[in-house]
Order: sequence, then C-alpha cells, then structure tokens
Amino acid sequence: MVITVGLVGNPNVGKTSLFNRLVGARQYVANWPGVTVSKIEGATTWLNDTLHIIDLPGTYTLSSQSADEKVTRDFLFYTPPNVTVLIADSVNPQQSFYLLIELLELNSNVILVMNSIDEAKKLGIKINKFELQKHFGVPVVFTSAKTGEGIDELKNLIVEVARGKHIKKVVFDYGDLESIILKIEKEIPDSILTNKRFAAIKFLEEDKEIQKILSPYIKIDYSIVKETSTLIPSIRYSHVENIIKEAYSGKSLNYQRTINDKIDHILTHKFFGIPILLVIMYLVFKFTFDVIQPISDYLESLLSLLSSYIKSFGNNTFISLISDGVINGVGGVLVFIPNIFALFFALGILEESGYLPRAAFVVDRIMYKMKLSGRSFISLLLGFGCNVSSIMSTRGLPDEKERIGTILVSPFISCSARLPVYLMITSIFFNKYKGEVLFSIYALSILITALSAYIINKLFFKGEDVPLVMELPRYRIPTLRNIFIYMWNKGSHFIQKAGTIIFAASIVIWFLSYFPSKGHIETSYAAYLGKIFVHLLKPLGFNWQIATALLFGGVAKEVIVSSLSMLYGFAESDLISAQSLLSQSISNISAYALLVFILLYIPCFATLASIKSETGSWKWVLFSVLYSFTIAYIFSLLVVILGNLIF
Amino acid sequence: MTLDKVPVGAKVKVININNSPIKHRLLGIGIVPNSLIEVVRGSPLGDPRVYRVFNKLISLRNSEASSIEVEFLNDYIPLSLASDGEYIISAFSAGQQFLKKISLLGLNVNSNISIKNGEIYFKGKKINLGHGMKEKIFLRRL
Repeated sequence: MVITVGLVGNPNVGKTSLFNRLVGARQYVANWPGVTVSKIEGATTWLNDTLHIIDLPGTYTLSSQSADEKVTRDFLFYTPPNVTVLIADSVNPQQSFYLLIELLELNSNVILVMNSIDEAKKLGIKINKFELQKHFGVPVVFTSAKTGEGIDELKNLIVEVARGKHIKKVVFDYGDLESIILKIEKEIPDSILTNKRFAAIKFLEEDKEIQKILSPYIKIDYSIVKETSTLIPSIRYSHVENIIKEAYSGKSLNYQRTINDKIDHILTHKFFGIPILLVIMYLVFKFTFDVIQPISDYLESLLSLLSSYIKSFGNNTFISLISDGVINGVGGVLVFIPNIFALFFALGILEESGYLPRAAFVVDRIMYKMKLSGRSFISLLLGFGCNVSSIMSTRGLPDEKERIGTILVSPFISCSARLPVYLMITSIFFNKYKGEVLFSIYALSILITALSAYIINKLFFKGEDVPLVMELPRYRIPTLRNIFIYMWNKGSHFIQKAGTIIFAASIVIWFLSYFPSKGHIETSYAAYLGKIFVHLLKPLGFNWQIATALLFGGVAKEVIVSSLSMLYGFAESDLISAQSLLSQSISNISAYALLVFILLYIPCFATLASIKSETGSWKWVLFSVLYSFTIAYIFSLLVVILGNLIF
Repeated sequence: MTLDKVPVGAKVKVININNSPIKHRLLGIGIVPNSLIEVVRGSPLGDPRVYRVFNKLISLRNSEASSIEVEFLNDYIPLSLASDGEYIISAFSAGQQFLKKISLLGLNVNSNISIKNGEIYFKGKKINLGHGMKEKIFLRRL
C-alpha cells in the first residue's frame, strides 16, 4: 500500500532533518503549482508499504495569509494525506502544540512527533508521553533527528495510523463561543464544505479565504468576528498551557537561555554585529568563488582541450557542432557546478547553525527601505560573484513577494563576469580614471538594484511590506549529513532545470554564429542580427560590431571581450591595436554609455534559466528581459544626452 | 502603550493585537492577549528588535511591534516610565559596569525609592539619573 504522509511543523523544529532521516537523500524538489514555494517530496519503503512523504512549508498557523501558509493549509484541507505528522519542538513546545490543535480541528489522522528529545533530556526536562496522548488523542513518539532515535517507531506508527488505529477524536472547547460555532456550522450548506467545525472556527478567526466562501450563507454581526479573531487563538493557547502543565516537569529552560544569549550578544552586537556579518560573508564569498575556482578552471581547460582535439579531425559542420556547440554548452553548465555546490555548502552551514536569521536581523533596517527584508541581503551580496548563485540562494527566503523581488533585481548586481569587459573598455577609453569610472559603475549597480526592488514591489505587490516576523532559533552544531543533503538537493535542481536551458541556448548561439558562412563570424546570422539590432542602438553611438558582441554577451557577459576581438580582428591581449580600432569607432561618451549598457542590459542565459527554474514561470523571465533592457536603454541614452550637453 | 515603545529589558503583558496583514502570524506565534513578552535586545540599527515569547526569540520590526498593545507588569515597571509614587527596585537589566555605577549611588534590588514631580528620591535625597539608566531599572509599586 502507498501511504501519503504530510510533515507539518513550525519553522526551525528540525522538520527537514527529520525528513532527511525518513527518506535519506532520495528527494525530489519542485515548486508548488503557481507559487515559488518549494515542494519537497521523497519516498521510502517500510516493511510492505511505501511511504510517500511530503515536507510541507514550515508554518505557525493554518491560516491562509502568506504563500507558505496557504500551500500547507490548502494541501491539508483539499487533498488531505493518509497520515499527517506534526513535528513539535520538545524544548519549546508551545507554538508546536498550538499548531497541533489547529491541525486536529482539520484532520484526524495525526501523529505527534516530539523532536529534539535528546536536547530536552540533556536539559533535564521530563515529558509525560501518556499525558500528551490523553490530551491530544493522538499517538506520540519521541524522536531525535540528530541521533536517529524513534525514527523506526515513527514509521511503524505511520503504517498503523494509515490502517485506522489509535485515533480518539478530542474536541477542544471554546467555552462561550461554542454556541456561535455551532450556529455557523448549521448555516454552512453541505455542498460547500464538509469539514464544518474547522470552517466555522476559521470564519470566526477572520480567515479571508474561508470568509469569502462562506459570507453568502452566514448571517452574523461582524463586530463579533472582530473579537473572536483574537479570542480563539487566546483560548487555544490556554489549552496549550494547561496541557504543558500536566505533561511537563523537571528543570526549567534557563541554561539554554544563557548560552544562546551570550552568542547572540556577540553576533548581533551593536558595534560588532555588522562587521562580523561582513567577515562571514567574505568567507562565504572566498570559498564559493575563490577556493573552488581552480576546479572550475580545470574543468574549463579540460573541455577546451577536448574541443581542440576534436577540431584536429578536420573542419566540417558536424565537428564544429560538437566542438563549439555541444562542448561549449556542456561547459556552460559545468563551470557553474563547483561554485553552486560550494555556495550551498556554505549556506547550509549558516542555515543549519542558526546564524542566517541573525544576519537578516542585523541588516534588516537597510533593506527595509527597498521593500525587502534583511534576509535578501545575503542573496543580493552573492550576486557580486555570480547572479546565478544569487538567484539560487533565494530558495531560502520565506516570503514569496521577497523571493520574486530579489530574483528580479539580482541581475543588476554587477557580477564578476562583467569585470573583464569593464576592464577592457576602461583601459582603452578611460585609462587615467580607471578607478573612478569603475567605482561609478558599481555605485550605479547598487542604486539601480535598490530602485528596481522598490519599483517591482510597487508594480506587482501593491507596495506591501515584506514582514520580518521571524524566529531566531537555538544555535545548533550543523551535521555534515544535513549539509550534504541540502547541497545535493539544491545543486542538482540547478543542473536539471537551469542546465537544460543553458545547454539549449548554447546550441542556438552556435547555430547563429556558424551559419550560413560556415564559421566566418563577420558574415554569420549573428552578425546579420547585429546589423539589424544596431538601428535600435544608433542613438547610443554603438556600431554593428558592438551590437553583435552585445548579442553574444547574452550567453555570458565575459564573451563580449572575445566577440569584440573576433569582430574587429585583434588579439584579446593586444590592447594597443584594440585601442586604435575601438576608439576610432565610438566616442568616449558612447564608451561610457556602453559600460552602463553592459551593466544593465539583459541577464545572461544562465541567469535567465535560473529565473525560470526558481520562479517556475516564463512570465518573470520575459519581464526581466524587457525591464532590464528598457532600464539599460534609458540610462545609456541619458549618459549620451547629458554627456553631449556637458562636454 | 504599543510594544515598540517598551525599553529593552522590560517585560510586558499583551492586551490586544490590532488588525494588520501579520495579525494571524503574531497570534500563531504566541502573541495573544495576556501572554508575556520580554524585550531582549535591539539590532545594531535599533530596528528590528528581538522579543522573548514563550521562550522563543522572535524578531519584529518596530512597525510590526506597533500593532501590539501591551501594559507593564505591576512588579516590572521601568523607572523611565514610572509615575509619581513609592516603589521598590525589583530588578536591573544591564551588565557589570552599570551595576557598579548604580551600587556607588547605594541603589540595590529591594531599595525603596520615591518619585515626586518626576524627581527621584532615595533615602530622602534627590538623585539624578540619565534616561538610559532609568530604562534599565525596574520597579514594583508599593
């Protein structure tokens, strides 16, 4: 029998670690339909059954306010799994039990998992399993995702509950409100919703979605609903406190408090907090883009060796397809892999240890003005290395508005691939003011990123703030096992989704530059396109060679350098002939406009492919292309107009 | 009073949560009427701040905390916000240096002080304290 199992729990209760324990590394990561919330599934066999486990987004309530909450609620409400497993934190159980009460109002096939039991034991906290079972009416199992304790027992319980054992319906009493709940239950037509008590309670909690469905049928004074919306959670918490009084004994939690507070005192310190964050980010950067770089370089040189080896067999279309098209395409994916895996390794450590929310806390004020939160700071900072890394890291952002916003603005962060292009142009045109010119480009990059974050929020999310209601979890020592699974899941997602798009795009580019003249780039389709494209770019003072190079720059920004050298016919390292050739064809003002254009115009294919894979929609890809091109055009044109006025 | 106005170190009781897009999340996280909240620390730029709710640390921006109405516990009123009357010092919320400074003045936990016209009197003598210091001294009304 196949048993579907939904894992529910607050953020930071070790839900993902427990999921890893249950299914190992055989996980499948996708997006929930229509939203950018990750859907993580996995399967495992236990005795004669298959357990199909879905790791639902962490949440504190089953209301439908944020995208994450809605995904979890809708899944449990409309497509209830055979068994729902609620994972609670044994050390701080209040919020977990609150969610459990809500869950029991919705579904009955529930198992309560008291996770982190090893930590609770160490702290001297005693938990009475039978009291919990009595009060909640569900089977309880003590587990530790760290030691593996209780995992087999949980699997046994899942099978038993799926076969109908163990359930004793407990109704949580709302006192004086019961009569109102009953009245609403009676007014709900059978054809609309079947779980009437849940719907009635949610209605009284001012749940927008349920209110929308039910308002035509319910006659009620809405001033009552205003009161019940805070009263119901209050009553639930008083149930929680009573149950904890019965089930918990032993030591209080003061010890854990002081250790955590001491670490927090340093990491979020008034003066040291931000410098410490910058040092940690520098180390992540160093590791992701520097320490790992030799592997990427090695892969790249290996591929170029292979490509020239194949070329030595002759010169025909097929050989060119293999050596320039296929190998370039594979290379285009391969070169990213070491960086992406290194990035997720480092982020995995930050996330597992509990530092990431602290980092967000420390810099939130700066990001708030851009309608983002501190959590997106780290993603954006990574963009200075590579925009693909930046976009891949947004998977950790819990708010969908923020995730989309960060994904769409991160291409404006000037990535390291753009630097060689800036260097070539500045050394040809602005050799004396190299530093100043480069600085101005990076400053513009940050300015446009901030501005765009604001504009995109206004355009698509009505200027709504991204909330920062966020838990700072207890510090934990990260386990290698979890970090490797984290790295593997997110990294392989990149290879599958973004990889195919990057590969396909490389083949198309090969086709355009090879045909019809069999490898003579000056007379290829690409050059032909460049000559059409240049009409649009004339006001900026660009010629067709530059237009064509910009087209190739879509593959990867650093390609602009090699494309210009091919189109003008100078060696890449030969700056003197490059200087004389280029400075004849465009003015200094246009050269600066070109720098601005290269900073802002369309994201490279790898970035676009990541946008597609992370947002799950071509709509955002299209928006990104059009928006960035428009911004690039406007700003470059401004440079030309103002430049001509001043000089 | 709203939660964003409460000084760091103070403990308060929640009275009500005003309507806002995050109301349900606040309620779910344990910020419900009658629950206790301690202001743990501020971020380097003062906003957001960390609060302790049922032993969990929750960060809230000041704009978010302003939707939460709270009142001081009777035995945990910060000196900076105490009205005229007789009090006993119930706690200090600060580090070693502050404790040294304050003990030089003779003030300790359980010392009696009185406030008249906003001035602080200890053993009949008027003492002057800065606003920052006042925020770190908590009182119980007699």
